Amino acid sequence: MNFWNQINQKLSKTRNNFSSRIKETFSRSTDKISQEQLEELEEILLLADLGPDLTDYLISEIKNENPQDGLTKLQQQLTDILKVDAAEDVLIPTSDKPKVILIAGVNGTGKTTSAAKIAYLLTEQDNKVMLAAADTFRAAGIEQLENWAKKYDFDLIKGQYGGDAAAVVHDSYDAAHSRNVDYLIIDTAGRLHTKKNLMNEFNKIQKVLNNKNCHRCHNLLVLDATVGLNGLQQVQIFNQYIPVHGLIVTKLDGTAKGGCVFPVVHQMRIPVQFIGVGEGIEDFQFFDPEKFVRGLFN
Amino acid sequence: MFENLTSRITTVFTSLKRKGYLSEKDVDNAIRDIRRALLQADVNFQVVKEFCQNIKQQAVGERVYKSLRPGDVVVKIVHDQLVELLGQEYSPLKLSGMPPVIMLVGLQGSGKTTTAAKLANSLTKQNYKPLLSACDNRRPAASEQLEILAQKNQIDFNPVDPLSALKSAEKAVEIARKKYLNPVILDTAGRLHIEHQLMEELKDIKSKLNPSDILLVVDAMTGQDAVNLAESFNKELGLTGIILTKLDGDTRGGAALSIRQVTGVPIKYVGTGEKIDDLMQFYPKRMASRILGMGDIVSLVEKAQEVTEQEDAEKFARKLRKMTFTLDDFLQQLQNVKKLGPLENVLSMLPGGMSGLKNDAEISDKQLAKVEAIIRSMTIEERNNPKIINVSRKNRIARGSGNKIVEVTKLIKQFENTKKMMKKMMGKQQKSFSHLTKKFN
Ligand SMILES: Nc1nc2c(ncn2[C@@H]2O[C@H](COP(=O)(O)OP(=O)(O)OP(=O)(O)O)[C@@H](O)[C@H]2O)c(=O)[nH]1
Ligand SMILES: Nc1nc2c(ncn2[C@@H]2O[C@H](COP(=O)(O)OP(=O)(O)O)[C@@H](O)[C@H]2O)c(=O)[nH]1
Ligand SMILES: [Mg+2]
Ligand SMILES: [Mg+2]
Repeated sequence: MNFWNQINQKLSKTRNNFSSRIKETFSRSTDKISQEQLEELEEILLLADLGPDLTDYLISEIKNENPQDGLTKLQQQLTDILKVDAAEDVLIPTSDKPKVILIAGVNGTGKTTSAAKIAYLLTEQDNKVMLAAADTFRAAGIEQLENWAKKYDFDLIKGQYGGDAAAVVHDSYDAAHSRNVDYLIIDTAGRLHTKKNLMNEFNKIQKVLNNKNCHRCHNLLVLDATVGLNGLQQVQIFNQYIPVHGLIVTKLDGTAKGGCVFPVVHQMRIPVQFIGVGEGIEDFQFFDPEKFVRGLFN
Repeated sequence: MFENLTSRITTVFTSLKRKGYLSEKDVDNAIRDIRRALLQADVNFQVVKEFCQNIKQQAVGERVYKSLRPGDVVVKIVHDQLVELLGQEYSPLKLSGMPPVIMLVGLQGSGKTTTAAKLANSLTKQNYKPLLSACDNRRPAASEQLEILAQKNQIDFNPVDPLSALKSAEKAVEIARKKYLNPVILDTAGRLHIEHQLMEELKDIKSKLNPSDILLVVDAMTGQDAVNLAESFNKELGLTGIILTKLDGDTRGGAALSIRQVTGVPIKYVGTGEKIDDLMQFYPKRMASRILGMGDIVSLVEKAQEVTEQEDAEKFARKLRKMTFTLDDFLQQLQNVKKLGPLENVLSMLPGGMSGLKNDAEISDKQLAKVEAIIRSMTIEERNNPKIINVSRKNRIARGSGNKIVEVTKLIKQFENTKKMMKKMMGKQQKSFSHLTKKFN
């Protein structure tokens, strides 16, 4: 089954199934869009976590249209917001190996699982990958990634609990380099963006990589689809410590729509690159703006 | 661009208060601002709608327009509504049964395992002998995670049965009976509320073991979806309480309001960090005061009492209230503050305007050590009256503490500013909220 069918099926289980009703009410009249219709759209956007600022803006843009055009225009604008080109294609390896992918984010968003999923995806495309278990803080954070590595036969370098994450990065980079690995994927400990001392760890990691002449680490930030407007703060502040090149939105198999990425991408111009749709290693997809927007109205 | 809810609402209130007379339009505008503030804080859309309707209904009553200080009346209405939403009183665990069973449930990554360990640890301090039971056979190394936390804190532990969550739980109860352990805390696997098969697993455990407490663990950063998930879990399992995690961040905590309102289930605890001690009882009135910009002085003082001598604690509370502390007091309290936990947590409990300190001043625990060194290099006289510190004194202090002169200057300036700011804050609050404080304590 195709992934979006799968998602649509999962989404349709939820109680907010707008799609047919919306289509019906918005095709009926050719007059100017009504106040109720605007309010209905406002509700959809707010309930999807787009936040009042962006919602107000989008609604004000269509208030003079007729209903059908209004709906189309709204969807178009939403899609346009998400269409940001990635600075580089993650899937094209660098000439100087390994290409480094660093996974960061607040606690519990799905970093470790996503690291394993990316490793799997890249392995499927005949790349040689290595995982670095640089979460030396959370209990069993290393074992968790190790479990995935064993199960799917990924190379893994780990450190010691309580140890220095930057040291793990150092060791794994050397190992990856000497073993001619294409991709080194670094799983980091979850941390709230407000904790300065934890965030400073990224500076150290970056220094280590710079010293290795690795200047093009691809940093992916993991956002949980259930997150509210706090997601914007997360991206803004993480981006102050490490340049965030792309986003991964996880747990889209639930009822949350992940709409917080709209204000995020709108303001930060950082593209969403992958989405997580389950706990299995294959429940991972490239991001598709059109389908994502359709999901909002489903 | 994102101010927090606290400062937004404070702004709304301040502008209301300036007016002696409120027209219906004034009230409407205020409600519109409050609506926005709540949405901005991730309070659920439906809840906001109801909330604003309620306020409006009460506000259009005679008393607002006839009152001498209409702003105060609206403030009071909003405050009362917030407390109403959050629930009135602190609601303890039930802990009944032989042995009592506590089941933790929730979405993936919400903080169940960490919270299970925190809860066990806090019960140990109340002379219980809990058993931590790993029931997550899905996430890799989930059992190991709990085991490590249990061992580190000397709490009894039973590993997961890889084949069955129910069997894991049953085994734990059996062991608890034999070893006279209680309560049994079940750490279940994270799951989506729409996965029926997985919900059945929890229902099975519920019907076989009849837990007295079924607690939903929710990430405080959750947005609009909080209501959906809480409703589903509640419908399927009949929750007895909610635990909100990750409140140590800068989330505005709208999920707390929404979940309580929609399910009617009380919030019992909040998680405020990754460490084992970062769990606090939830006091609805205090949370409301935090949202309204009154800070959480009560919790702060209580926490201070835990770590300081009684006498010290009272002094600390008194000085905090009166804002009369000197650099010397500051130094003494610094020792205690260190025991209170990471500074960020402490600062987040201070009144609304103070939360700005967190970002502006870039205070870190490392910097605290520096501050300590500088104050230690001052004479008592200088500590009590920083005004006498001239250039040559600064020079001496800088050398003595191994810092630059600018850093000494900065500290003195910051101290004075903070004092001024706190004085202003406290003064303002005491005036504006004087009619509310009685209700609070
Ligand atoms: N349903 C669903 N669950 C997911 C998804 N991605 C991750 N999870 C689950 O979410 C939970 C947390 O995932 P982790 O990968 O451990 O998250 P993390 O960010 O590494 O967590 P910390 O390191 O503790 O901060 C686990 O139970 C995962 O199985 C997803 O796309 N959908
Ligand atoms: N900052 C912070 N992190 C927390 C808190 N509670 C849990 N965590 C972290 O959130 C992540 C997920 O927690 P975990 O207990 O494994 O969640 P579970 O999947 O629901 O069992 C871990 O990194 C925890 O350290 C909290 O109150 N504050
Ligand atoms: Mg992890
Ligand atoms: Mg767990």
